[in-house]
Amino acid sequence: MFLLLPSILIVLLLDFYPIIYSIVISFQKRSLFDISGVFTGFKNYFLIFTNPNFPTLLKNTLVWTLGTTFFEVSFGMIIALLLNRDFKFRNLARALIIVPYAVPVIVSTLVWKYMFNDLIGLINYILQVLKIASQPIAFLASTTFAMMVVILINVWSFTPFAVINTLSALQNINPELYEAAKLDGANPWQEFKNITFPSILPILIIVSLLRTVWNFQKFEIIWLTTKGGPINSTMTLPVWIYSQGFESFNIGYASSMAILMFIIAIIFAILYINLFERMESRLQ
Amino acid sequence: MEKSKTKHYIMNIMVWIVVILTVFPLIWMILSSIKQPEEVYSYPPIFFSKDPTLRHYIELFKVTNFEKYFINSTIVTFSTVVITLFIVVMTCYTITRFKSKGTNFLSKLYVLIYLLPQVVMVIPIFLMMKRFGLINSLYSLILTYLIFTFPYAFLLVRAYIGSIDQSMEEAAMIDGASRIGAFIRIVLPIAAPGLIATSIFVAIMCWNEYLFASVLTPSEEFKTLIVGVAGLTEKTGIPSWGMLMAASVIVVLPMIVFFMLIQRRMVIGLSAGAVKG
Repeated sequence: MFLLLPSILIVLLLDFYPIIYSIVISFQKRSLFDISGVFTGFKNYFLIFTNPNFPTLLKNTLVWTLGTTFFEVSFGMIIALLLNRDFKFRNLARALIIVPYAVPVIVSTLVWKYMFNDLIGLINYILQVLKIASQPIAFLASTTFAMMVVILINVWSFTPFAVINTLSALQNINPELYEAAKLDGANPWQEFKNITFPSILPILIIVSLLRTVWNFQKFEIIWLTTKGGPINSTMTLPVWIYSQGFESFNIGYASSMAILMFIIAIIFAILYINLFERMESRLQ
Repeated sequence: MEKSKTKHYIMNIMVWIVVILTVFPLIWMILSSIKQPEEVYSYPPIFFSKDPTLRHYIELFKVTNFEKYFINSTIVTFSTVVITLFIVVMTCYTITRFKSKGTNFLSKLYVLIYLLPQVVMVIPIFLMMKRFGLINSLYSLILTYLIFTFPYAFLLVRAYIGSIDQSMEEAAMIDGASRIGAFIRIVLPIAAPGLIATSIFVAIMCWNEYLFASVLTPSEEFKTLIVGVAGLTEKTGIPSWGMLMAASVIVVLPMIVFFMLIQRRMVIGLSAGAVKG
């Protein structure tokens, strides 16, 4: 049993202790450089709920989390369906489509920022050639477009996750089902509706939930692209926590928000684990 | 028949359109990194440089601490992978071989931990490392990265070791092998390909990490690649896109190589937590 000791230590030292510490700090007025904080009760929590930007933060987090997850899973499904056929260089196509998953976040944000640049960016050039835009658009300085750009970067990076998982579910479908459907004279749409989609639905739900949990807490893409701006239009909860903590050094305030986030995340995580186990036992 | 052929043809075209759109940003990055400075900034943009150059790469190593960042990232990534694997193999072996209520609970707990937001940990971890005097030390990163590498590797390795038939081990032990001997001679060789794939996935995670590295190692000397390159954009008001693209190429290259190595095992690594391995 002593073999389990290192892993238990990791969990106690790197997960439990920080979370409890965070709860303590969330009741304090404390700067990042203070040795200890001043107990202020629920004041930080009160400040959060009365912060006029709080609704915007929640809205942005919701748009970001659901937007990224929705596009990742739907593109993932479509691409997996396209790949799940016999064609030349199928393995090459598959390999190239999942490459973005290995691209570090600093690289994806830099490259996309370069392409979305308002003065020299390729995307503005294409939009003008196609006569979609008459003027170059400053995407990252625009409160309407900035969120779309960060969502796009996330979708580009993480759609491969949905592709791979959907593809493996597709490959597990019993081919006899399709043969039987052909004999019954089913058309491709009926095949999809009655065989393919129900078979991959469990994995689509699991992937959606897992991506929701991760996208909810994802912070790097937004931070490295817009820092939450312009005028808070891409400010989500994790980005706000990081900037409160490490730019304003207001860790008491930041921690109270972190604890709220933690509670939401834990609810999702437990939901996920329960759902996953139920589906697993149904498959067996 | 004719109709389904056309359909197949259209779908193939769609696949390759998706491929091109996916890979294009990376191709643009490579093309831009070898352009002349004035070509990088030309509008309308040009695709192929008339006079390709490596000057951005040379400048990168001359002007910035890029080499230092690269070495730091390599040390952190390598050390974290070794430590993670060692601990995870120990843990998974025990949990899959000695099943009890306790190990079952731990197993669930480790999955739960995989789903916790890291941003919640970052402030307390920073304060903790400050107290240990580990700010601006690579040790703080190696230790902290276990937060996410451990539960991830746990999910993968548990599947590998759990699927190995125990009767072979038991037979070896009846023949007089010790438990450790049976583990080394029977379990490890079977699990090896899975463990190698896991190492690569963990390596990709460490190499790409930004959140903790950005706060735990603020000094130039200890920056990792990701944080170092992010810093390049902040220091100069107007970023030199040529140099940034050259830096991006170097950052992404080892990852692509790793990625190609585990092509066939991709499904397993990407589906940790989503599909039972």
